[in-house]
Amino acid sequence: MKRRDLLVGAALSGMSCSKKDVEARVVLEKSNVAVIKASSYESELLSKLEDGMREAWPEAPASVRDKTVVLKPNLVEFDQNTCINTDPRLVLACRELFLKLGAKSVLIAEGPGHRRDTWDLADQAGYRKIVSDFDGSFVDLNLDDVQSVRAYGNSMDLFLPKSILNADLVVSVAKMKTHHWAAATLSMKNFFGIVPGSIYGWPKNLLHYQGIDKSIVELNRIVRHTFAIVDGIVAMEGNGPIQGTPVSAGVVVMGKDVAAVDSTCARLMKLDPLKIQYLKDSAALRIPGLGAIEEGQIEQRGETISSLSRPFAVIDDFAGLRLA
Amino acid sequence: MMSIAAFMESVELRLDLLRKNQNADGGWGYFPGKMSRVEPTCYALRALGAGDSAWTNGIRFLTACQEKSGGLNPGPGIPGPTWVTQLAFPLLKQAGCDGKSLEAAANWILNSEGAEGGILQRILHAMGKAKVEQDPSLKGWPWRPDNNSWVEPTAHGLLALHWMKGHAPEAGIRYRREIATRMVLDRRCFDGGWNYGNKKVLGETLPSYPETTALALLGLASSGQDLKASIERAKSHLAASKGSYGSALLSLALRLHGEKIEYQAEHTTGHPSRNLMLASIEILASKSGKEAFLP
Repeated sequence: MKRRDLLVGAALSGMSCSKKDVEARVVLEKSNVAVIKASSYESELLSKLEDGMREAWPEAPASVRDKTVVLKPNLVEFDQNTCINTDPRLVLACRELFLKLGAKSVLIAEGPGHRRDTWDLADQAGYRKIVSDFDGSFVDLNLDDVQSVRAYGNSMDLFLPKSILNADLVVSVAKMKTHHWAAATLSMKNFFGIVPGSIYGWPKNLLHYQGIDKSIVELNRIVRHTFAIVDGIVAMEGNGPIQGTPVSAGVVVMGKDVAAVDSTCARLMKLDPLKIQYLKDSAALRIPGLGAIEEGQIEQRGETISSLSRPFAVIDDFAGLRLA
Repeated sequence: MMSIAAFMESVELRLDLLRKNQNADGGWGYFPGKMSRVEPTCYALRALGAGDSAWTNGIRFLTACQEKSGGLNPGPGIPGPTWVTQLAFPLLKQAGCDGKSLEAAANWILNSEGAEGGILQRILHAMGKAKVEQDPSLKGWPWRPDNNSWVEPTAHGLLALHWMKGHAPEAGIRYRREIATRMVLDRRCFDGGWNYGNKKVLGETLPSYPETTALALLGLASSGQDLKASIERAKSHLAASKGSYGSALLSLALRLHGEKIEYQAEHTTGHPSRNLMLASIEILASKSGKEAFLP
């Protein structure tokens, strides 16, 4: 039994706690986030991820065994030599990590917002060359069969890929980048790629109409069986997520609470997560396991933030987000 | 250079893939074993042609996706008409569907337009402070109702207009053609090709993409516009293209503009993804001319 179960169990057994107290205490429980130093994609990435997993999610071996895991990288452009995409070597290491943890299958799935030929994009970005059985394990989320879920305050049916909705665990293997609309694109924003283009078009206009920040939070509210691994080995600063410049941040960030992971990434980028709208909004939902964004709510493991943080250049609109 | 026999075999393999993967409801999914959708069905029907034994059932699937409004939804269980109506209209016309259905579909297409052009957008545009550089008064077609216009649905809207004679008022067809043509030209990137619908965002110029350049050129076929720079851009995209989808669409579009292009599939024995829509487009790129898209 976990500490969280004890808290809830104690409260529900009538030990003078109101429902409100339970909610407050559950939300207040700290979220584990592991900060892993990794200066390149070449050296011992798998063992570093294993270390990170032990810190971030000690229960992973029991939780992942015999489960279907979907890795959702951030795959945007064809060029293998850019920092736009999640590096294929990290995705490969993640795949090996979850297979070693006993997963029944580990799929790789993406639905890019700007390019329709997802499969060739993954091929040219180096994924097919590096991932064995790529042809049998890659899913184009833009073209997948879909199922509807109620969304945006129960105001509409949102169609999402069955590969995501039916997975036991969806791992956001995101890239650490600045973003010209949302300030930073990390593990939460990466879920824009699960919205199918075949229903909503390219780019996924619906998400912009509903509001980018609102949509980021909504997708992460809907897909709750998640884990986050953010690729900041080579990250992007400036006018991201496509036209920014590479920056060697030398870090991988991991955790089950995607908002806690993204808040940690923001601090590593010397941006204030408490001023990033979608992080504030996700915290306001008070959903257990989604939204620990204050430093005191996060159990920081691995490297310290101060040892690896560096200021990321941002566009003028986000200059006010800088941490001193 | 591929031999004629290898070329024929490459096309035949793809035709065979399509014929073997038509679903029981008459439609095609994006991949074998997946649920039928209007988009891959439209491309499969174009690739196979009206003489193929799969044609009648394929058309039956399309008509089953037509809603009361006249528009078609993307597929069973996904209600609400969308841009696929433009993609399907020429096929419904070719199949000789009943006049009322065609009239309803044509009416839906003529009444569907981009949501841009609100007062705030126009003021920001007039002041030069809009985040995207485009004329918001020029509307094409959106992917879904109440969204902005984008290149791909607009290209298929323009193609659909060619097939509407007798099913919609001439003035309406002419008006939509003129505004949508201007919209596509307004959104053209500075390199001569097209991105998905913008040329400049937040002061940064956007590059064109092979596939969207091809789709814009498809939509502008027979438009009478001077497209020399765009055709040159399309040729350079084709020479450098890294994806089968973009290469096939570019070959098709350039041929519609009178260029002598021979498409050669990179994967002669079939694309490893087994994407049925891509197989259809590769067949069209290998053998078709204007007849697949224009009356």
